[in-house]
Amino acid sequence: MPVLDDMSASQAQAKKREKRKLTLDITAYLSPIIIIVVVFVFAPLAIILFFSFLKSGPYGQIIYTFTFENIAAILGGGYGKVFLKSVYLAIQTNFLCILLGYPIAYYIARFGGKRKVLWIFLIIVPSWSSYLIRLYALKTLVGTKGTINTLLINIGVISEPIQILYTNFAVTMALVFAWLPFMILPIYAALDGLDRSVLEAATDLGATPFRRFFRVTLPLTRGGLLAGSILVFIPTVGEWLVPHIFGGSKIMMAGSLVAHKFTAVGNIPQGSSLAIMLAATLVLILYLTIKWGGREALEKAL
Amino acid sequence: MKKRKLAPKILWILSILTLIFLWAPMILVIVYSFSNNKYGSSWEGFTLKWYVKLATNDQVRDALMRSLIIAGVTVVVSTLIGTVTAYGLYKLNFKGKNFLRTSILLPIVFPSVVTGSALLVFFTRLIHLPLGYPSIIIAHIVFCSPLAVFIILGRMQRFDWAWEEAALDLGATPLRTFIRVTGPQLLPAIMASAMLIFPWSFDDFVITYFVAGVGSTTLPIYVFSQLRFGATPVINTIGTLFVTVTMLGMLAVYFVQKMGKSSSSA
Amino acid sequence: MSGSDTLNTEKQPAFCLEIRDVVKQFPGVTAVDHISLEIKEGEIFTFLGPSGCGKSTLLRIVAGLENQDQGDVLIAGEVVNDLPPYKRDCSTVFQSHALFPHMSVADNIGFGLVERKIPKADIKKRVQAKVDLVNLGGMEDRFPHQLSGGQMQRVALARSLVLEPTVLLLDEPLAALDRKLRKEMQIELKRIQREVGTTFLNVTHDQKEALSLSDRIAVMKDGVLLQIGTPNEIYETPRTRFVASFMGATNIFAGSVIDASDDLLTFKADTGLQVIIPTPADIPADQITGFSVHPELIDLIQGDANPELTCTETDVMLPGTIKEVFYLGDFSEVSVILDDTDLILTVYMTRGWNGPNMKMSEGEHIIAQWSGESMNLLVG
Repeated sequence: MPVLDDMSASQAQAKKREKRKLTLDITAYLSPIIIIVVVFVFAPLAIILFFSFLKSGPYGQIIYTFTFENIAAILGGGYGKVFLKSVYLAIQTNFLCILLGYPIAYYIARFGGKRKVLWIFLIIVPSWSSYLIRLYALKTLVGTKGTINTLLINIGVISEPIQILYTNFAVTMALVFAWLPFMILPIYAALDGLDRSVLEAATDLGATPFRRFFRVTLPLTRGGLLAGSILVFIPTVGEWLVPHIFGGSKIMMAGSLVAHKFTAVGNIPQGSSLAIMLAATLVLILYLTIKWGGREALEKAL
Repeated sequence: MKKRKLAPKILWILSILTLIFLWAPMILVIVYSFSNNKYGSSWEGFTLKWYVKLATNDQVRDALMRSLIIAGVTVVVSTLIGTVTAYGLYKLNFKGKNFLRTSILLPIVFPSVVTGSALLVFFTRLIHLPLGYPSIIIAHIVFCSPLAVFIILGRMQRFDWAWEEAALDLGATPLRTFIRVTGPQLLPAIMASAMLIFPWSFDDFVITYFVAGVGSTTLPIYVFSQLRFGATPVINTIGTLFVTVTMLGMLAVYFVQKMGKSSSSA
Repeated sequence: MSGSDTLNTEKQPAFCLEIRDVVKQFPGVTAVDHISLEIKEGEIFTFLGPSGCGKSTLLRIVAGLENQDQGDVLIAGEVVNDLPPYKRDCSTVFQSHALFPHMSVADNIGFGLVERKIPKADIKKRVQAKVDLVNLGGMEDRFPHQLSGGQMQRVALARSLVLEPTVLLLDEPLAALDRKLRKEMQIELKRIQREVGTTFLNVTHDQKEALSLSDRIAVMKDGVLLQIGTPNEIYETPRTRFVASFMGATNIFAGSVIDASDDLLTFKADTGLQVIIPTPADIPADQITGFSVHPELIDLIQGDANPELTCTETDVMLPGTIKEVFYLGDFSEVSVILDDTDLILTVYMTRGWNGPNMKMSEGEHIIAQWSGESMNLLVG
């Protein structure tokens, strides 16, 4: 039996050749995406990171003096509270989406029968219709002169319109309305993929339907819940349109601050620092997700 | 026995209520789009005049054309990049691959306001790119091509690569192999990603709003500008058309996927 | 290092396929460890070994789907190391069949001919000939998902054979089929090979398939080539413990020769058992590390028959107790514990002369007997 010595010369050569081929392949296949990532993701982030340490002049011009003011304003002041509120609203939305989404997902998976495709269709269509128009439609429904208020006044239940817009309730409702489909679908996929015999085994082993749900079904659909939570939580943290339309100037979220600084005030250094903080928040969330749920879960969710 | 029948009923009621919650606003928009009320916010008899108004509205037509061009270019470029990248990520093993994959995720997970503002500053302050088509299309490719990468990569993971080896083994060069075997097999995934990217790009408001500059009004930006005036009948008609097109699109995707499944179920 | 130098010194007719000192390492494992062998034209040659032994890797190196780290592969006398798979004169039948799902049976079979730019009419003719060869007449327009496993197998075979390769490579061709179909396809494969005369290089982990199908077998383990020989040689005279047990000789006695005369050896097993063995012609006595006996070569003698009567000097007779009997219908697998040892002997009992009423029962005292010629010597 020949003993394998250290790599012989020809073997080393073969490895070298393979390495060269790999470099060539990486260049051929991955250079477009690498350019996108480096030039249009990392470079812009680096620019706003740089700008967030600069000052802004009275007319929106950038003054090239190094300062920590912008960052300090977020970490210490009222902006920090807005960030916390964004995370709080996102968690609340996520929780409500699970609460509303699980029953319907469960119903479709277990009792949907032949109409499964129809149900799923009815859930997907709103989620892929224009985001802006859906929010507008919801506003039409709940606004001060909206359908609900008009209806209630006409039948005499109330005399003054209820103020729904520009409240925490309105923002939360709109967030749930916008993102609920993205919670239902992964949960449904997980439930639908569940092996029926596992449930039968649980019943056979003496679990009541109630106990069975908590001891078998729920743990087995954890993947779907995680995926749904990623899909709902991540976009809601940085939401701008919902607080803009349903919160007005009363309920601000981190996304509205960034947009406000850039589009209304024109204070680029401050806007940059807020955007960087928001990005950092998301990277932290992303990091925790990968650490707990694994990269696979994240990619699958998307 | 009774309990078993009760549970599905309760679930059914909850599910229907959820569906109503998701659909009621949209249905109102559709109904009001046919209403005579000039604010488009209550029912005052049937009319089609808002659709006529929409059809003759130059602003809407320009915005629609602009959105279509942007989405069209974005779909083609992003799908191409997505296919090539997914192939590379699937086939090659190298140091830093995980880092690259995570980096590709960034444009998808970053809030639109971050991507939009960062690109705006980058375009205007660093490379002085004129705002308009170039900036909008680049921005759209940045957030759409990662989506294509992961959709196509997902399909590739379920693809029998022995097909590719068999083709090479039977005398087809790598290029011919792609044309005759790998390409046709990946086509459903590529089509699906194109069909998902199109609405993604067409419907994007936030990022586009940041990098559009003056005069490049896309359809979502037009809708947004109209929203300031509250409910308007023209928006209702746009919304109705949106839902209709989405439904048709979903049906198309559904059938493409069904076709893909039946042709690859060996 | 180039192949042409070696070719010039060798005036003999080139082998159909030669593998010279090929090494392939993957991170953490050596999949192919300095293997050299030659395959003659027109033979069915089989790489046999458990999964992970490197046999498939070696096949893929021959096909060009994998590059070796070192060594040469020669097809029809020419070094093909640097040729990509699409330029090599060999073709592979894949384990998963790898039929193109979007092409009909005829298009699948004609795939390689299209790449060779053969005129259409000619392609049709050649495809038809191969369709007939593999008995798929009438299925030309079907698609892979409309075929059974055996039919897919035939398409894959025809698709490769139509290119008239110097070597046909078969990667576990029958593994995906069920047992009955596998047997049928074995016979088919052999028939087709005899008909077309192409050299077949087959890879399998099933020793029965290897024995019935092959002209020669190479047994591999952990990337190392253990033994090459005809099915008969491999089965009857395995040279190492691994080959012996892999070929079903479950009774293996490790030990050494303690006394040697001109024509007889005294072998003492580690378990204390001592036997006399005729001196082999080809193995020096000091290299012998054990012997093996196939379970079907052992007889069990019931009752108190006097063993001395039939015994020659090298015959082995050992008293023992039956521990378990597995009734398998056509034969029974009997485990016997030899007296005064904890050695378990496996014996296959066919009933033969004794008729259907012959029974062995657990706990019964018997004598296990085999002849001196039944013992196969091991050297590793």
